[in-house]
Amino acid sequence: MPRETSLVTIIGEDSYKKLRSSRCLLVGAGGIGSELLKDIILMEFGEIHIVDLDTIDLSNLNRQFLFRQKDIKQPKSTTAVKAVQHFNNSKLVPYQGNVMDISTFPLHWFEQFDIIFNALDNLAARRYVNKISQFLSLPLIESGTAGFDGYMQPIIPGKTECFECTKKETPKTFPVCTIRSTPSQPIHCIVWAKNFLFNQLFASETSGNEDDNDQDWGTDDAEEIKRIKQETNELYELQKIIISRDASRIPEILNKLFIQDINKLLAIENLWKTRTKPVPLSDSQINTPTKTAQSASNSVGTIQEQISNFINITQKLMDRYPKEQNHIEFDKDDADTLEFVATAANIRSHIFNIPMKSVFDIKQIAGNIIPAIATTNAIVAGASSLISLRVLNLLKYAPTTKYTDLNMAFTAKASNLSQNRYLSNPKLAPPNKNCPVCSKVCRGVIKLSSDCLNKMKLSDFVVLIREKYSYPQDISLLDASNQRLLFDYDFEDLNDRTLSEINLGNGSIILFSDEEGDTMIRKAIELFLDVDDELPCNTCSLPDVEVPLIKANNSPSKNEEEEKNEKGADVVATTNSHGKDGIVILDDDEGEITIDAEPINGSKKRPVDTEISEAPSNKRTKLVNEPTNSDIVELD
Amino acid sequence: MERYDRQLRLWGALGQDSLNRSRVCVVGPATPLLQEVFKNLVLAGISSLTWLKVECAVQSGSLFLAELKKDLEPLASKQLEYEENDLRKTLQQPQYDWTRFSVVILTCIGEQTAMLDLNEIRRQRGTKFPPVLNTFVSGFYGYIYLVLSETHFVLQAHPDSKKYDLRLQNPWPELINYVDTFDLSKMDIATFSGIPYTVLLMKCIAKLERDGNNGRITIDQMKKVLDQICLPLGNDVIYEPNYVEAKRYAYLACSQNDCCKELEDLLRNLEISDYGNDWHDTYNYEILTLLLTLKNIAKENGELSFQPLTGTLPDMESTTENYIRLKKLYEVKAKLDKSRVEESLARSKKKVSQDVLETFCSHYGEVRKILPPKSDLLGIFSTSNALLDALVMVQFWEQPAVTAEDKDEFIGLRVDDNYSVMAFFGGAVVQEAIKLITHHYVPIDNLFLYNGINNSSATYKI
Repeated sequence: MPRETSLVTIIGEDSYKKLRSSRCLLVGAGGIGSELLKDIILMEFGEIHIVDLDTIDLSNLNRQFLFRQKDIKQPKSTTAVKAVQHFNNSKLVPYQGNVMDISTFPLHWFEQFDIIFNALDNLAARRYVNKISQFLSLPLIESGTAGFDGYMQPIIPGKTECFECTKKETPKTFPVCTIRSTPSQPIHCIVWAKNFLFNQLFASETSGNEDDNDQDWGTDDAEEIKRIKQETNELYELQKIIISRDASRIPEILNKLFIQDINKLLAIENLWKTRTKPVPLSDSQINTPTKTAQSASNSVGTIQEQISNFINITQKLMDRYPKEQNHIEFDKDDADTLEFVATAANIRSHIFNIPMKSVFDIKQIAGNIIPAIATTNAIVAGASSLISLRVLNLLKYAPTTKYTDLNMAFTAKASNLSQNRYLSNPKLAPPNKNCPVCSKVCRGVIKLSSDCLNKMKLSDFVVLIREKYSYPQDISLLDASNQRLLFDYDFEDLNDRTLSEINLGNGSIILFSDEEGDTMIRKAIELFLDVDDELPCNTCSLPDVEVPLIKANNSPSKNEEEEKNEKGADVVATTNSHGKDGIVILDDDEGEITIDAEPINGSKKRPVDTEISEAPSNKRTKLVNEPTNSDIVELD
Repeated sequence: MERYDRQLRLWGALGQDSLNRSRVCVVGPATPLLQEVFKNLVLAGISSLTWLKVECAVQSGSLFLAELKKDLEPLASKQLEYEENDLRKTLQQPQYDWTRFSVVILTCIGEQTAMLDLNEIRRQRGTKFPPVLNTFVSGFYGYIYLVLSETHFVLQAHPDSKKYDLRLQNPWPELINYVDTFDLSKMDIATFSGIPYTVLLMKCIAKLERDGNNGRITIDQMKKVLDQICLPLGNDVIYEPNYVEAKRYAYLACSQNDCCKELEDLLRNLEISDYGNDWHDTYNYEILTLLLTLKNIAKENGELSFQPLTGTLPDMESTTENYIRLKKLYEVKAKLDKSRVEESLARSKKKVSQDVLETFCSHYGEVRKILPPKSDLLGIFSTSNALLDALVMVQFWEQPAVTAEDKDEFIGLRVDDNYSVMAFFGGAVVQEAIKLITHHYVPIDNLFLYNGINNSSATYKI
């Protein structure tokens, strides 16, 4: 029985034709990716492009069913495509690469797709694809799992919440001083061993100074900061021992890390007024060789075992070091590096009276390991592929009239299943008006030929944009990818440079803002530079986006709810220092738009306001998100 | 074990070992659901599979596994034991060994007689029959129905918010001595800031008791007393992190007992008569044995109840020294409690595997009990749930309609099977099987319904 018949009865002849002619992009061929690939192949999408950077690892095999033992170290994308050939009826195109690599995957490459499925494992790539989906108005189905928990969220640009409309948890950070001087939990010692000690010994350059200008020391104690800096320099000495490959000198490393440095810490008395003092190792502990017990990965062992394990593993890494071009990265699946971090962390824990941890536990903490199982991935991938039929409006008997009628899905914690909740299915929310990614600014794509990039002067570029969208004279232009100010009323140093000279290029995103209006201002616009060599010379085509006038924030807002939403979510462009090279560095919080509470002296700052209340929000977002010169399938 | 590293973190080595040793029987025709179930079982580490086949004239839907055994083998970490039999013939063998299976999964059974026969066999075997997960999918809808034959005990429920077993209201003598070593009237704020918040809370409770409060403690009372004993040190005390924690966790002192009330009820309702000899699953037998042992210990000592201290202490603001001393106290007491359990077991000549004993004692508050349903496999035929009714109708009495038009309340129920919904159910039903086999996490009790049009779902008890 031919397979198509089944599907045709589900969605009907017309929809089936549409499905067969549509192209989708699957980002990630890992846990959810394997399941999704199978599901969308069996749903018979016409064309499926698969991007994945990774290669296959043994610990993938408990869920990524397309991969076999023999495939370990092979690229995921191409292996997955080979594995599905026998049941495949779609055109499959694999890529081994990073989806965020603009040279391999320029913006116009994404334009060919009708829908994107995210099956990613990291926040940065999720944010990136979300942004792409917003710039191109491409529907995106976002998903993720952790153990028994999973979620699936369709994102229809302009119509429903985007990935950034709600705050996402970011990785926890610790003050330098907790890690370097006053650890109190196992994680502090693990971070010390992995991010600091391991990197200094095996993964850093042999010279150079730690850039400490922007460090969060977590202390104002000058004596302590001085000590931390000095300690860093001394670590270069330790690295020399590694380079010497002289195993007999390993006790020197132990002596330095676990006796001398601890004694120096003890000398800073005010650190220990309310804390228990650490107890350094003794010389005899370091110099008394013990037989290394090959302990199981889930037991802890004694301090003496930890020390001898440390000596052995350091020797092993020492031997590997020159063979690997003097650079070994920590990798949770590289048993040697894990062992080093585990023993070093445990010795430090012992010194600071912190419980030691097993290698198994340390692996989870150091490797940021998220539990993963096939069943949750199957559930989430099933829900994702299913909803795509409704996002593309292919179900005649369940037509999608409003995208906010669609549902996302969260699997509840497994232990709650008996409490009448397997899955929660909130309806999609409209975009958050204060979302810096999808709602705070207008958005569009500038198509540029590379000759234009090399020829066009900044001043001409500014004029072009100003006139196209009717901005007033006083504007500011920002390189949004790194918060560089390129132009404003009292900063015109770069005017005569060309776009490429000021480091704008393919993938740059610029933010153009009205700095003039008092009560009403032109909404800011974010423009993506899509440089395409196939374009004819001298192309610089600006998108047809309607940029509305909005109320400036100095006029009182009448809408209470709006006011409430505004708190702490404003985009603030703050200049605080003019660099020597004529480029101004703005407040930078890990590349994200900063939320700044206090005005900085001499700075020019005005939050971009929420939209004007008389313009209905739906209408506005619709206008914003429809770049007319792209061949995007109409969603409505 | 490296292969299972990511899932070991959910159910531990013991759970994974149970999976690796378990045998699962899957019953039904060759459907996408069946292959999804097989795939997910083998990925989880199950290495013995039996397929009781139902021959089907038309193959429904698309399959990616061409030959089940050959295609499943590479997914397993060790040699896959695989067996195929005809369901009809198997049901007619009175000697067929059903007890060797850890779980039986029924997928898309369309014949009512097969269901009746299996139900009869199950009835005859009494409690000695594996849990049955019956699942069916039609169009965008489906159900999973769990039928237990014996009481299922969950060893570790892994609740969302971990409740620590602190014994604030009934501290043991060593803990009381420890609390008494801190004299708040004779210390400065710097010393105060190094005291764990649980000590502060215990001091509050002690004061309330001294002041003649014998009833239930309220949060307001706690907060008031906390200020009474802390503020004399100076007003700045309110900025100390341990004071802030004490305020935040004051509610811990208000619950009747540190350990869950649920557990007390469970224990109270447990009778020796529950203790049959016919246990299908040794874990259930062992967990029950341990629970009854706790009852015995309480009885022997004339105590109301005995609950082994789990012995884990949450992270808290404190000097390392104070924290380590407190932690040691909890560890020592937990060890002692465990040895009391071991001794009592030995006296009554009962044996329980060491791993189960360890997990039981260190996660005592997470034990759960799920009773077999009053109804049986046929329970699905007599419910008032409209969706289940409609699904059962399609399952046993109707041919799927060819048209996509739908007139009744469940849009897209009578269309051909949708692969995505099958994949969803393949994941969900195996997830339940894993919970049953590992005795980690609470399984569905006992009916789960899903609507793929809007992702809604519900669980009911029938």
